[in-house]
Amino acid sequence: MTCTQVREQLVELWGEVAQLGAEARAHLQQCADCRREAQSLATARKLLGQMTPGSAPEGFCDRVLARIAEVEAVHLSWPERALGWLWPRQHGPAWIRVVAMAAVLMILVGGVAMLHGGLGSGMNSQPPAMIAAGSAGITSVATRDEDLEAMVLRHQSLELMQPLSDDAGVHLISYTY
Amino acid sequence: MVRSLLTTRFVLPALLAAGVLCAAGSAGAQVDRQALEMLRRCVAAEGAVNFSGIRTVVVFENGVKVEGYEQQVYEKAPGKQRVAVIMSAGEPGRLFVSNGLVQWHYLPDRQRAVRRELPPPSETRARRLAELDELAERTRIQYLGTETIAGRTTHVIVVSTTGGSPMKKNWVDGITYVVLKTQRFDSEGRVKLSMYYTAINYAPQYTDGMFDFVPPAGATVREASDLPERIPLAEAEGRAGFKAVLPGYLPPGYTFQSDSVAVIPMHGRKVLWLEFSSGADSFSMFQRLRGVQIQSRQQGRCMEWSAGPYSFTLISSVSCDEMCKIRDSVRP
Repeated sequence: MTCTQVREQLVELWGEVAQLGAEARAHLQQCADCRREAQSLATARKLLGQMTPGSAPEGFCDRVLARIAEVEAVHLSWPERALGWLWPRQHGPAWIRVVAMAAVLMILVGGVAMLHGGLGSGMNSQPPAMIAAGSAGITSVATRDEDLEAMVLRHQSLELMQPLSDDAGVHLISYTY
Repeated sequence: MVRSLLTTRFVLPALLAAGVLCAAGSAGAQVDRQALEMLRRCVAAEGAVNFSGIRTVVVFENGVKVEGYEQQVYEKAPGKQRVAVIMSAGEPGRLFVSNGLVQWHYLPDRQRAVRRELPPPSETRARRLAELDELAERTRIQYLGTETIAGRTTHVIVVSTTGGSPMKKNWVDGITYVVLKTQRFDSEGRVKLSMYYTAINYAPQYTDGMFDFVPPAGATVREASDLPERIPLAEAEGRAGFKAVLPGYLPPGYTFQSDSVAVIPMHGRKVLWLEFSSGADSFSMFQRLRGVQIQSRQQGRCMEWSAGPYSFTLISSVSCDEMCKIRDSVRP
């Protein structure tokens, strides 16, 4: 298991290591960083448990619900606004308008697809490159896994040339990626 | 009276200390010639002896067993090998096959096969023997006696750092020089990998084609790249276009191989490949300019992170704790 997977579980369990699966517990035995994370979560849980619960003022819930209703009445979502512009409310209930709009959209999409298929039959259908240099914050896990494998294979080739190397079969499971 | 006092209180201890220092100095590269010769014969025997056997491989982390598995091994001179990992029913195993020139590593659970072309065995053997002689100049190689492994009398040889920390221990068949047991140690002196034969047969039966491999239909085949040119650090930095960032911490016994740096291409970018070696083990650190933000992660023996304008990948058999220390000491 990776650190990310283990930490996701730890967050859900508030650092309760005893409730982790065997694989996650085995990872914790190996990874000091994740053990520290588990300890932090467990400490935070303990501190929260020690806090005395407060109570909301009287009428708080009713006031919040009323305010939500006011906001909803004034602000329609953008799909509601679009639907109202294309097919005004006075022309039928909402479900009829939705079905009719869906049918129109399907016809439009189908037409565009047919047009595109006729013109684009000779185009390369491969997806665009996932990584652009300088595009901060965008990662491609699939590409990185391939790079990682390439680096592992190079390192293994190097290891095989060491004077005290074991035969390649000994490390069949040691390196995972 | 004064003279005898001086002798006992000062001269004798001084002579004793001098003797200890001399012994320690000469132990800097203490090589038992018999042990070194046995290691040389081990290298020469690889791929040159016919045998089959069952062996167990156990991997430890911080002295705790993390995985163990059995392997069925066949070897046929020259250089042919077949290793199958014996798994429980229903679990996918792994297969390693080599005909001496091409090596295949098949992972059925991933439908993936890795193909690696090997240099001529004589070339590999000559290189390893030369490096073994160099290794003997900076480590301690000792003969520890005999033990019985899989019913065979073996010679026990240990390779240690000059400080005495064991790095690798081999139990070598007294007649064939096949390594019947080996242990590797971490920086704390704990076993991190143990391999030992439980059965060995020097008159094996082979079946036709057992050292050939054809990837099953649908399997993805990956070619393992050739080893690139290794050059001095300064030249490699010039080719890569950036300076290497070396870790401030290295596990005991490891040194940076500054004359053996490679620059490899990866998706149009240049990557510095740095090698760190203890003589018995090595780890690699790959450094590249960070085009995208790499999320720190660890996967098995691989660790990735970004620091400053670079991304780093560490591939190593040292412990998780040591990998974290190395990572934390890399400061661009």
